Amino acid sequence: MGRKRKAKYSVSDATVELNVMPFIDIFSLLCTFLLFSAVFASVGVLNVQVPFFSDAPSVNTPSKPERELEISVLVQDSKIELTTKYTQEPKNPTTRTFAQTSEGIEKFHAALMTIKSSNSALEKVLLFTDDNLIYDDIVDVLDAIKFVNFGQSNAKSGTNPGEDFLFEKVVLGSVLL
Amino acid sequence: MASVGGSDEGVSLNIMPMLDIFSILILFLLMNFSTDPVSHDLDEGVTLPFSATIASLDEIPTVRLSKTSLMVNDHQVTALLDGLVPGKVVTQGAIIPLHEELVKLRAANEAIAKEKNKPGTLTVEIDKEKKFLTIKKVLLSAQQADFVEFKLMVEKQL
Repeated sequence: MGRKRKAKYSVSDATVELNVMPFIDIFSLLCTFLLFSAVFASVGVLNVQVPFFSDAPSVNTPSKPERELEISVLVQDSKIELTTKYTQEPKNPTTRTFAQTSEGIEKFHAALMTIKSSNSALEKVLLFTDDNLIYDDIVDVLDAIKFVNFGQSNAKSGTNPGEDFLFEKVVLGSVLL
Repeated sequence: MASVGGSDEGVSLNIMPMLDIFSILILFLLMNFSTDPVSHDLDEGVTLPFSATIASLDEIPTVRLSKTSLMVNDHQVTALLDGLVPGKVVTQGAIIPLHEELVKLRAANEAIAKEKNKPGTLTVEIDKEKKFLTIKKVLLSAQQADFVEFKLMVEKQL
């Protein structure tokens, strides 16, 4: 019986090198593809409405309360006026004024949060803006009205500020004025 | 004297740092890879404001109000003078050429839409420095053409 010679898997002196060239090729192609398809400015949308007249018959909604709160916001160059009143007597109108600054907008947002906490069914805000106001400033106010975690960073709130709506429906009332 | 010619010793390039950089770059690009339904190149005359919204752009903007012009579907409706709509094209607060274009668009949309006489939605791209005085005229013109819901384009805060 012949004596079998066992292969030796011992560590030899010769160094084993991994051929990384295919790896680099794939990485290069992937990098090129991703760089070309990268979008560095992500575009989103803010939904708003303008008032309109309709000849459609009104839909009877028995669950809708007869006396409900109306919120209107007037944005001017230097201040924001938040007015609330009920649709029926006693209307109890109240107006609060905030500065048109980042701190003022945060306080305005906090006031809206308070209103929402006691009127959870409310979804609509009527927004009036001054003609000289620029679009950038209007978007700041829209954010404060529409989103729950406005002004908080993603890390602080744990969620994206735009994930939860505060008042989803914003009607630009001054378009018809 | 030192020899310039090749020697028997192999010169190997250390490519590990390059691989590290590539890996990090790919990770960064994959994290930022856009899955938005629509990719739209912004006009040079438009800078969008930042917003906290997470709603993505789902259609190419129909109306574009840039620093110098007002456009509907890449067709210039009117040029702006000092950022404002010229008075000669405005009647009762609405921009007449824009209104006419949007009425045509509305008719075309209704021809293919299942539900007719339903208020329309318009995506609008507006430069962040535009005054509400100008925006108001655009929105009123659209409202007169039965567009009552608007998607205002903004830049998402990442």
